[in-house]
Amino acid sequence: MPRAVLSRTVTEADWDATIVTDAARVRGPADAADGDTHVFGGSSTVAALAEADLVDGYRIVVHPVVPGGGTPFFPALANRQPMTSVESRTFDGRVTGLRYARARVTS
Amino acid sequence: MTRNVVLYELMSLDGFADDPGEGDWFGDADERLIGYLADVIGRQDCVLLGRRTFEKWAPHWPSSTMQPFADFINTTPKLVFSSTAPSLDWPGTTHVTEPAPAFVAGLKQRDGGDIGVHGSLTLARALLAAHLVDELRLVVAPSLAGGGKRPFDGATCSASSSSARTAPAAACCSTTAAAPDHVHRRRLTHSHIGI
Repeated sequence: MPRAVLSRTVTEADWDATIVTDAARVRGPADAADGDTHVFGGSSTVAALAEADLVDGYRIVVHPVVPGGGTPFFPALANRQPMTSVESRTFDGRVTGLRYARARVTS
Repeated sequence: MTRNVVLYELMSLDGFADDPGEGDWFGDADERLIGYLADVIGRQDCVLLGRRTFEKWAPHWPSSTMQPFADFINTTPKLVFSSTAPSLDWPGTTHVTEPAPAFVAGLKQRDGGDIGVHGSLTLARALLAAHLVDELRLVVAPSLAGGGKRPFDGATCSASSSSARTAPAAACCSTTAAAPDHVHRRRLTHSHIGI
């Protein structure tokens, strides 16, 4: 599985990973892949991609707790980003899984 | 016999809950969302409002024909929480100067149906912080608003159960029963997020 690591400071990465220093350039490895590219990252990684409007879909697991603090998952955005609701389900009466696709105007 | 306080909020996917009339992220409600709203308000016989929501709604709803909410909000007894007297008149409204948590704690002990909180983000936060909210009814629009007001800033509570349904293509409706006795905090990590 091809891997890319997003970092402005890392210069070498083991595990056959490509280093991407600018979120805007993540499309290169993503477009080279056959299927979807999954992002496993903290909120700052996803924020950088969301701000550049590079996220095509979200799979979100919502836990039934109001934490009252912490880092919001979604960053402040300059522009609204409409989505399409693809799926929502409740796993065990507590945790809700949500799936959204970015709704883009096709030209 | 105690009554449930039910918080009904329309939110964007990134957790903002500004007035949908002012935010353009919400989209149009379809009949499933109207049905969900009808189910929520059908159990309520009292509505709590903060001052800002009251001042927006008092000039709007008396002449509105948007059903079922217009008839509901115009005929249901309303309590508006404000340290100063509201400048507007809306039949069926009682002005409360007492701090909301103490007043609502007493109200919950009386007989009656659900006590609804609609909009009123400052009031909602105060009631959440005081662990007086029994149920969250959240309608989540499929849009990242990017900015606005978050209803859950500074509030903590955990919830015992939830159900979700996709109502219109536009929204996801979530019903969550709050369990204020088991308060804990967690950080938001990866794609696992709190409410």
